[in-house]
Amino acid sequence: MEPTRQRANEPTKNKDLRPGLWRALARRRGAALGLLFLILLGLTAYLAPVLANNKPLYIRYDGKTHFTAFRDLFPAILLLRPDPVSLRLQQDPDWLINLATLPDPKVGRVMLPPVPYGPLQQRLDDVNSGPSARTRHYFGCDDNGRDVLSRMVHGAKVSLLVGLLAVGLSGLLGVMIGALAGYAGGWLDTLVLSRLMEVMACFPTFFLILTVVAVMDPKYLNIWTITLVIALTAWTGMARYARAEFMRLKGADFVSAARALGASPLRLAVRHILPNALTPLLVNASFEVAGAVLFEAAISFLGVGVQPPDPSWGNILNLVTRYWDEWWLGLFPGAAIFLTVLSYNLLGEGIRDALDPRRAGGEK
Amino acid sequence: MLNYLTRRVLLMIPTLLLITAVVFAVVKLAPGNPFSMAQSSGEAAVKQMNPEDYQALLTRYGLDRPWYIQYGRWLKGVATGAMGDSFSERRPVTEVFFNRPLNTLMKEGSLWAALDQLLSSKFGATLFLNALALLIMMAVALPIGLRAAAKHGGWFDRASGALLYALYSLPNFWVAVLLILLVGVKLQWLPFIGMRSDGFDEMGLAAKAVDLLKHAALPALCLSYGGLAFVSRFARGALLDVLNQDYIRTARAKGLGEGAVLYRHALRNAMIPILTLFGLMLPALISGSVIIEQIFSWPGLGQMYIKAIYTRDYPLIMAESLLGTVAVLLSNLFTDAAYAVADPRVRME
Repeated sequence: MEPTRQRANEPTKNKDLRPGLWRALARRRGAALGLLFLILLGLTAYLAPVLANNKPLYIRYDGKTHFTAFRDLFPAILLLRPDPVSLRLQQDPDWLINLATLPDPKVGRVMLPPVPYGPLQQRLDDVNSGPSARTRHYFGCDDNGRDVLSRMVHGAKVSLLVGLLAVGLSGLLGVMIGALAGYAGGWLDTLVLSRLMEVMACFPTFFLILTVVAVMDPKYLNIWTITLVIALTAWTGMARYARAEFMRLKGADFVSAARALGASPLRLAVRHILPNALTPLLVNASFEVAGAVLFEAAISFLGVGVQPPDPSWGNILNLVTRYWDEWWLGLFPGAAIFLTVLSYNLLGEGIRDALDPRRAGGEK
Repeated sequence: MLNYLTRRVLLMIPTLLLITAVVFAVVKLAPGNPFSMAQSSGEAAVKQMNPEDYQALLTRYGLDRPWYIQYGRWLKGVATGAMGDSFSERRPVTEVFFNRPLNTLMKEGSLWAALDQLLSSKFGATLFLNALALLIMMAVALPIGLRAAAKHGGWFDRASGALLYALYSLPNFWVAVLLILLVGVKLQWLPFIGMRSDGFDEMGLAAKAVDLLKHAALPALCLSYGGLAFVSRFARGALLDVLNQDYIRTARAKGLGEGAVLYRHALRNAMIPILTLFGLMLPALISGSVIIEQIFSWPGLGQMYIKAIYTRDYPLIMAESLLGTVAVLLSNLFTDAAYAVADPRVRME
């Protein structure tokens, strides 16, 4: 009993490797840069209300001090106490940006966010105007006079959420199905689950997603439904990896030992096998996030994804196909999509190389 | 071997049934039908249709039955070779896809006329564009991959690897936008809308070919660069495998020059796996790219599909889904068969 017991503890050794993962990732320049970009992007998405907003970060108004933009970070506060500055901006969105030409005696010192426009704020004067530091439209404006940079900052949330949620959801589904197939084996695997995976793998996924979103009523087209549709078609990759890992590990000594100690199948699968199967799943997940981000951008670009006025990188990019002279509508949102996809791909490569000693020296 | 292939082909049937059934159910369960879509957008005659006529139309086309009965009818039609008529184009689906090149060939006896017919069909437009893209891809990727393998580990290998990897992460719709902005709008070197210039019919044969190629240049470029990384890495791997073989060492040992070793011994053997690549590219070749065709207003299957979805043109939607699925299945079959030939263990599984 004694030696098997020690073997049963083997998986915990893996934990010692994890600090090594971070160090290995940091050593790989590409993966580290990718990770850094994604962290910055996450911060941008979270801090969007204080980075790009027509509400001031700080204002002396009517003898009182307000931090109006910060209230948007906690939307629930709006329900409690109406803020005079927000109310005033609802009436007149351009109030503060026009202060220089239309002074307001009630306003004292003002500090606007770096991008002083809201993502939905339309300014007739700025329709289709190009990038300019003078007007503070750093990335120009779209056909409704909305600031492109502001829309991109707020659209980051869409890309990140769709990517992570779709892969999280499809990962959950895929691992459950793959684990069942790999662990149970037998007819359930060969007759049902493996065939299902095979059939799903032949699905023309892009066509199917496109068909589903194109026939959907536009009022249901938002990031949640798009996420769901992507997740429901993308789980096969995860399932295949999970199945292979579970088949490999279910005969391992430490699993037999745990079983001999009376662990239930569920406990075996979740506590013993899954932690050891995470590596290939993690790598695959990273690549799939890149795929999901690209998917969302592509269908929004085709006009069947996130619907304007809600901002998404894809639907900003879509506008350039109507106004080919407005190059800023094509350059900036596309660059954001590219950098995000590249970052996830580099991160995936990095994790794979870092966890696989055979590849540690790079591809030879 | 035959046994294995038969099993694979038989397995394709339920797959095909399931996929087409899902697509069928999705488009049928979605709100709207060809007539209601035409009513809300289209022609005056349709707009003023009274409810009884509308109902009569639905009954006439069997659209008032549950979707699985309609699916059964569609299957029956496919089995007998009748794909139905397109609602929006008011002609048979096969004609929308291919035009009538065979009839033209029979009647007029002119190969050029038949080719022209095919080229002005949806399928022909897509095939032309994708074949060109494939040609560009192979012409660029193979030399890069082979050179990277011949001098592997060198600066060219690493630089091309990194560059192609970055290219692979570039979304092709963004590249399309940038190319149009630069080459089409700013420099005005190439056209970027549609497939033919005005007055195409009056041009001579050579001028026609040049016009088609000019229109296809940008979209074909966008479709080709994404696969560069994959194809060149694949070619590099194939050649590296061969270069590690004993007979290459023998060839070197007997004093052959590096050129002779590479071109006469290694390359020929490396071509076999590279040829299987064409099997993998089959789906992309015939089913078309929705995004690129949409951006460049290319009159192919991809653009047709989007339009068909919006007008609920069920026969067109189903025909394109069927074509796409069959292409994927055939390509899988081809790849599996190639592996089975190479590795007998696969056949036993």
